[in-house]
Amino acid sequence: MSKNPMVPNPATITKITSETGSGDVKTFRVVFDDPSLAEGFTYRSGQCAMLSVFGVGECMISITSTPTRPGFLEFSVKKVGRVTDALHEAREGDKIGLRGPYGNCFPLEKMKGKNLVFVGGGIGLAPLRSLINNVLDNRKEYGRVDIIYGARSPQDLVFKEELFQNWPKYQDTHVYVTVDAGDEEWKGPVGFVPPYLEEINPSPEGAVAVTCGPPVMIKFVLQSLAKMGYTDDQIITTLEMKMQCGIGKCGRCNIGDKYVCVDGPVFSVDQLQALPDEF
Amino acid sequence: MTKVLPQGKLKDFLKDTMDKYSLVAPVREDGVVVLKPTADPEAVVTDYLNTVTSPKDFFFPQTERMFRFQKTEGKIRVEETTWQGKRVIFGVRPCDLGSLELIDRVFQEGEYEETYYLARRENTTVVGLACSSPGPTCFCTTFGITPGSPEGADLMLYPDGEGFVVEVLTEKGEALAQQTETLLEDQDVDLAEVKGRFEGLKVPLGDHLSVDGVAAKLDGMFEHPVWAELSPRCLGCGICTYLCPTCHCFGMTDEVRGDQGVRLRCWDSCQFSDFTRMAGGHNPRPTKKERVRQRFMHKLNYYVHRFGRYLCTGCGRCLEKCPVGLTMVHVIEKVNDSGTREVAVNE
Amino acid sequence: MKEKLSELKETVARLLKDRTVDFFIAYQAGHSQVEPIPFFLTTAEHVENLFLNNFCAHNLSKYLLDYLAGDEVVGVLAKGCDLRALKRLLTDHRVERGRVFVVGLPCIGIYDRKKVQEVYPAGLVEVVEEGEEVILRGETGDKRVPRKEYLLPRCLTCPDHNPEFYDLLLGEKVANGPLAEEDYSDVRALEEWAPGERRRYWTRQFERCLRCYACRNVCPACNCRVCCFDVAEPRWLGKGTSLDEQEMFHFTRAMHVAGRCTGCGECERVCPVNIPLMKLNKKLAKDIGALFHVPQAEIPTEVEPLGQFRLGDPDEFN
Ligand SMILES: Cc1cc2nc3c(=O)[nH]c(=O)nc-3n(C[C@H](O)[C@H](O)[C@H](O)COP(=O)(O)OP(=O)(O)OC[C@H]3O[C@@H](n4cnc5c(N)ncnc54)[C@H](O)[C@@H]3O)c2cc1C
Ligand code: SF4
Ligand code: SF4
Ligand code: SF4
Ligand code: SF4
Ligand code: FES
Repeated sequence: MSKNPMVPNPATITKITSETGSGDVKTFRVVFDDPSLAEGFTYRSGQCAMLSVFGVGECMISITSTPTRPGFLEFSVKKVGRVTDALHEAREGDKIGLRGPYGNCFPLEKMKGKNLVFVGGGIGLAPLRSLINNVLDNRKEYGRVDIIYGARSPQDLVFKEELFQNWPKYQDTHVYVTVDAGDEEWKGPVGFVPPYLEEINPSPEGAVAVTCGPPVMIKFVLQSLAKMGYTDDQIITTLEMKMQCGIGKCGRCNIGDKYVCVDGPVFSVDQLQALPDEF
Repeated sequence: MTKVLPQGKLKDFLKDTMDKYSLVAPVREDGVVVLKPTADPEAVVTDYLNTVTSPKDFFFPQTERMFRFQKTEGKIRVEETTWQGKRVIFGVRPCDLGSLELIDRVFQEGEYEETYYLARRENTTVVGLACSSPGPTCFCTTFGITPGSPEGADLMLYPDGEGFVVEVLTEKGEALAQQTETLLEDQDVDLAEVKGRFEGLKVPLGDHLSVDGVAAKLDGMFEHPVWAELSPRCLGCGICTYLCPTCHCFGMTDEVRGDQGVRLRCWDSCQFSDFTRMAGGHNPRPTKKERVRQRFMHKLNYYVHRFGRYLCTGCGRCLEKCPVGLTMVHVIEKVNDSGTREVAVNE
Repeated sequence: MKEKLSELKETVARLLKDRTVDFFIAYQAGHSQVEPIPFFLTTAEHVENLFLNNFCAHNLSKYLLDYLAGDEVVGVLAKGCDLRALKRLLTDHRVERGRVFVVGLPCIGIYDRKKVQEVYPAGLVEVVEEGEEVILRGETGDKRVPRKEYLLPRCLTCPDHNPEFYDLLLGEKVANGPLAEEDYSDVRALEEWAPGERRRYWTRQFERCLRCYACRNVCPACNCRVCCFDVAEPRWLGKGTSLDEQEMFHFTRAMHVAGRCTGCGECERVCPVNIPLMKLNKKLAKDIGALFHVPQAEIPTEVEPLGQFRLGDPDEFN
């Protein structure tokens, strides 16, 4: 790899999975072209990478695969703008650029032996997926696992195979899925994530909650968790800010004196409280 | 013995420099003095308060080509571009010398290095020029810099009588002194005395403006009404950040022709409305208030938390050039005043 | 102009008190005498910090664009040139007349800070007008100079020293008529140059441009909802700076204001690196005047010279 952190490394898309009904979220499996990188690239759950579509630009995307299953990286990308549009045009075999991994990671050490509550919304399940699979691959090191996930409609749910088939099979692992608005086929619960979370009400006793999703959802989930008795240091979340360099140089992603690209994206709520309200 | 460059030999000094280095120097052009690559020693001036543009332009250029890419037959080739050159920047004032050290920290420290900047830094020799008569917009002393501070220079020139007293500060400075050896006279001048004279010069604005405690005070001023009072007049232009020798924010952009292209790293400004606008339209700094606050909090608080120094060297460019007087001095005064008395709105 | 300060204070205090306006935009003292700066007053107490002298150049009406979304009534101080700028915004249907309260300010000319600073680099205390001369009174003594030579270029050719319309006028109207005829001598001089020489001249200018967009941001004719230079997709103008991009920027800017430029010269005044933008604007105004028979191309009209088509228009491509 180049010593220059700003130069992306060529990589190949080996598999594309359309996650949602409308196809606005796709998961890309990617392998570095350079064999030494393909072997030697290490990362931790929660970290991100900069994906380049040459000629269009870059965007920061969470690594949604887990380091416990090496050999490739996976990214789930929602189509929202220039680069993500271009990624969605890509086909298996196409070349992209990759640099990373960037940012801090989920505090796995701190989570060992604890009951874990994962609360996700929409594409926010992408970073959580890495963590969940990481935890499940070392299932016995953790306590009870509750996964609460919601999306706008059944069409918008991502990682359906894992949600409905793989994860519930693990021991003491409970998956709850809700949608804002159902359709004819939807048999599950209907409603927003925060009230659903309160309904399930996982005990704060010896627990750590991790939440990722759209800012409004996070805001209300944090209120719900507080109501349920979770203290700020028991809650972990991720933040999103506009990014360009990903390495703490371009001066764009700061919230107060913290740069989300290097000091985040993972923050505990007590860390968040210390930041100015500008995100 | 101290080396002295006689005034009459300045052009030759620049000429000899050009034998080995490319030269960037202050040039007067259409009524403004700008730092510019030049091959003409005759065009170089020394009678300026400071250059309108700052030396950062030559370490952190407005547009830097980062790499080339070429797509062929299902393959992609990425070829890093690195700046090749050996350059002398002549005539850098103490405030701007200081600014380089501030940007160095950002691009050098931490887990990653910004190699484009560092390559230019490594291959550029900086010739500083002490200030004989600080102007009405200068306030370097507020930040502990003086009209004679050489920190950041490889070789420093102190105007003295009919010439320049030379101080060699680094190996790069030594190499330049050797290159121009025949022009430097050994004279019986007391370097310390000369330096002392410059260090002691009055800087009227700076001498009366203190930043003591400003960073700490700002810790509690994020929600202070001062930002809403100051910001409406801002034009949201790039003048303050582009001219400031310490501002260093950038963005990246790809340019393509057919199946090949380049990625450029370009200056950007926190004062532009789209600086933090995200896909989907959410913008954590949606109005001038947040953007103006960011500029000053970054310089007077966030940077201090990260690197222990203020991100301003009192060069005075924002005083001179901001069309609406939204300047560093104005803000420091506001912060100093806040709390000691009811903050007078807008003044 | 200074003498109108107490009247201004009274007026603004009253307007704010009786809620005729929600806030008022005028001037406050800046870093020195020669650089007053815009001032947003929200309560009557603020009037103590009002400031007025013959360096109050800023056209304040451009700020009205920042308040389109609300329903505030904004008071604004306007000289003759500022009023033309406001008229630009009104005829472009960007600002509603009902939401602006104009306090008109008759004006006999604003001094050019750059020119004065060349004579007085620091310590100017006041400027006293005496007929065709001014006394620049400084800490180190007085300097008597011809008034005309120290005015902003726009003031010399200003067609109307009194605002064309207002809700309230400050003081008496002043004698009208331009101090000098607009003869486009600058432009004519450039036109005489050989093409290569002109090319070199403009290349040097454009290469110096920082693309800071101050000229655009201050311009009353640059009032588009989204500026083409800010559009990311498609990207009309690359983010990188190269001579190509700089030219693209300058030609686009000049052509977008052609026939709409009010000749206020604010663009050139704020440019930090002295790009002679007015030479481009004037060239276009001159050509539009000649080609489309518009006597005063810089006075905003409901239908722009380049916003209409007439059968008799020159059509050189045929
Ligand atoms: C730490 C982090 C993790 C993320 N993880 C994911 C993920 O797993 N899946 C996913 O779909 N999205 C993720 N995002 C959001 C994703 O980065 C943006 O949706 C994406 O950058 C939009 O780029 P665009 O070019 O399509 O949009 P445009 O609006 O065209 O953006 C232009 C440029 O602005 C920047 N930009 C715009 N929006 C954002 C944003 N929200 N965050 C950062 N930079 C932005 C990018 O540099 C982009 O190239 C993440 C963002 C961050 C900060
Ligand atoms: S503070 Fe001044 S120079 Fe900076 S963006 Fe605002 S108007 Fe422009
Ligand atoms: S903030 Fe102003 S005075 Fe300070 S370094 Fe930047 S331009 Fe100079
Ligand atoms: S104000 Fe001057 S430097 Fe800035 S973009 Fe306009 S012409 Fe260029
Ligand atoms: S182009 Fe310049 S002179 Fe014309 S209206 Fe705009 S700012 Fe005024
Ligand atoms: S993305 Fe550049 S500093 Fe964080």
